[in-house]
Amino acid sequence: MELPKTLTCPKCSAAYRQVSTEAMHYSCTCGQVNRIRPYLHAENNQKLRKIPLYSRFQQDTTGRFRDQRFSLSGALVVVFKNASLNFWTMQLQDGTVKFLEESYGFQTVLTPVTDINTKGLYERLGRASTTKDTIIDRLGTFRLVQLDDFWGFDVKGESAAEVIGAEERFLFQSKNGEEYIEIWLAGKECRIFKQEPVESLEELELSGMRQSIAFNEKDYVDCASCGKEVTIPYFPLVKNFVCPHCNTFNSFTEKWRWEKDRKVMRLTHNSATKIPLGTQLHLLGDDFKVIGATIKEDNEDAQWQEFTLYCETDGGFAFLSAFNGNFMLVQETMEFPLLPNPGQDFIYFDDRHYRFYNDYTVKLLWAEGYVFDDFAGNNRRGFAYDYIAPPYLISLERDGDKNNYWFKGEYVDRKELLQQDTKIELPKKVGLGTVEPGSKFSNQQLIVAGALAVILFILVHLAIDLTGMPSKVVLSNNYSFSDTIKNIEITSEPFDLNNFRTNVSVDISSDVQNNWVSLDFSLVNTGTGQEYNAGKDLEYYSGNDGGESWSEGSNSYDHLFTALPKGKYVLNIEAEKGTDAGSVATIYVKAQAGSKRALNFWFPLLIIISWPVILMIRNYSTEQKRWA
Amino acid sequence: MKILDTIKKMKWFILFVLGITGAKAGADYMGFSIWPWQSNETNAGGGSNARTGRTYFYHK
Repeated sequence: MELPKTLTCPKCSAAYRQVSTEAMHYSCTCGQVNRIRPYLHAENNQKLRKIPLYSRFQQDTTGRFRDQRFSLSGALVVVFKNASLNFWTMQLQDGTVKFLEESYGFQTVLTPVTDINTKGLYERLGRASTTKDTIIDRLGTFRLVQLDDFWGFDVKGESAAEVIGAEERFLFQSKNGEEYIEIWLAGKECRIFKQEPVESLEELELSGMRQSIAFNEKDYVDCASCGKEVTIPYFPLVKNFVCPHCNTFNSFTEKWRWEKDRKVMRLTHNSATKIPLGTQLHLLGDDFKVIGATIKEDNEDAQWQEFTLYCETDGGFAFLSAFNGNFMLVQETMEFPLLPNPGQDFIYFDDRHYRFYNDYTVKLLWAEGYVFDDFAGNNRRGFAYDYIAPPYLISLERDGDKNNYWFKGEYVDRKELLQQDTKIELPKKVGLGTVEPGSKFSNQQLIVAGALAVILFILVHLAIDLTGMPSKVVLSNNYSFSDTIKNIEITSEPFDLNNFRTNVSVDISSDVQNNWVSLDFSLVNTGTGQEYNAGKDLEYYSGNDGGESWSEGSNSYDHLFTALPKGKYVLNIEAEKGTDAGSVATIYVKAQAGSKRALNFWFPLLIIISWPVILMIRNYSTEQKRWA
Repeated sequence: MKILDTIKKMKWFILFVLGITGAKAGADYMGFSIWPWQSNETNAGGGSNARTGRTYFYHK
């Protein structure tokens, strides 16, 4: 078994003890990058450049991936045409090596895949497209997502990544959309990696990380047009800037230099949302710094603003999109759905149904600061496709059939912008925002929350019912009047109320017709003599007047004695027959101890369900408005 | 995490539901009504005699 060796730098002769026998390169303290295998020598590849490493990870950062501890021994920093990525070498507990690919606030783990029959793969990669299947031996059938050109690299610490001669980086997604592979192509030689996105840094249980990325605020270049110094703290992550002195758009090119693109017109029309560069924003739980701004236009002449934001929370970048006083925060994502078929009107992704909203081309009208957009093509990424599930958006930008860039967006309430520490001037809100929700909650959330609330309420109601006094009829009888009996006095058998507080209901009905019955009833606590009284005149009149029948009054009455203290009670009722011409022969009296009050159930239940119901109605009406 | 976020967002609704349910439980236990418009009730909660709910009809 090969053991780690002590290496001597060919340039300064400094000794270096390698961490792993898998190492390909190490950077000496003198700054020289040395290649270790197949023999130790100063790296002389022409793509080797001095590139700053901007990352929250560092050498000796440790963590856990798939139940295995790992430590980072160093990074390969690569500048591609469209992105700049750091490939950290992960030394795993079992002696194997993986790579932690990270930048722009997202991370993926690359596992080298060996024993792949690469015969004919070079030709297939040449034909690979985002709309055609590419078979990669036993790994299965994939579709191209992104193809990037390899411009330059640097090594920090000790790296096991073999990049020599690499020309292109392919990112493929499996046909079921669940697996990703990355292929580095060097001549006809391929290196294949299984790519597993890391959802959050917490998942890696990292320790020894930097709190934030320390950008070199003093790093500068000379503007390719006016020659004045312009700081480029975010290079190589951001490879375009607008010179603040002469308004020339500068882009970093494959020739490894900054070149002027064209002059950016001074903004003549009134910029709707005014957020100066350098403004700190706190949006949707993350801290951002505004580092650039653009104004874009689609093929239907709709114009909107996009602010480039550096996310100080996770080291990524985002865009604040502003249109008609409506706002949305958009970030590129490394987990995305399958490419939709032409005409596909919805996407199911991340447990949400996104509905097709719009497709358009994008034209850049104006920019300032540091921006990701390239002026050269003025339509660099071709078509953009927006799918929405308010308050969320998933957007696809297609660059021909070789590159798909996926973005996730979320609605930002303008109140959140108005509450920032720095005062921001916002335009008047016009219309409904693309992903502006009817309420903060989806119908599904409202249904679940409403159902849980109703279940809780019913459980509490049942618990009270079970622990309360069971209903008991203490009096139920018919009593008759006659020509001689004009008054009836009723007294119930004594009954016990055993609970702290109990209700007693008295229901009285009568066959009264065009007459009345006067009722007085009292509930008497036989122990204390405490008396509770109530009274009612039952009267019911009906007739026919001019061919129309009429009636008034009622021949029944329910009364409730509530919150009666514990004790023995009797119910006394005095009924007096009316003296009108109509009839009244009997009254029926029913008294029930422990009776429940129905409105104590229905009234609060109605209040509880009213909130989700109102919000669901609002959601529905907002959607009607959006798609009208 | 999504559930925790949703719970956090719905904290006012949760408090509202707990409040209403608690008020209903308390009212049931104490024998009070939380329906504010009652006419045919005599409440004994105060311990004093009460005479309510009597209506007098006009007799033709």
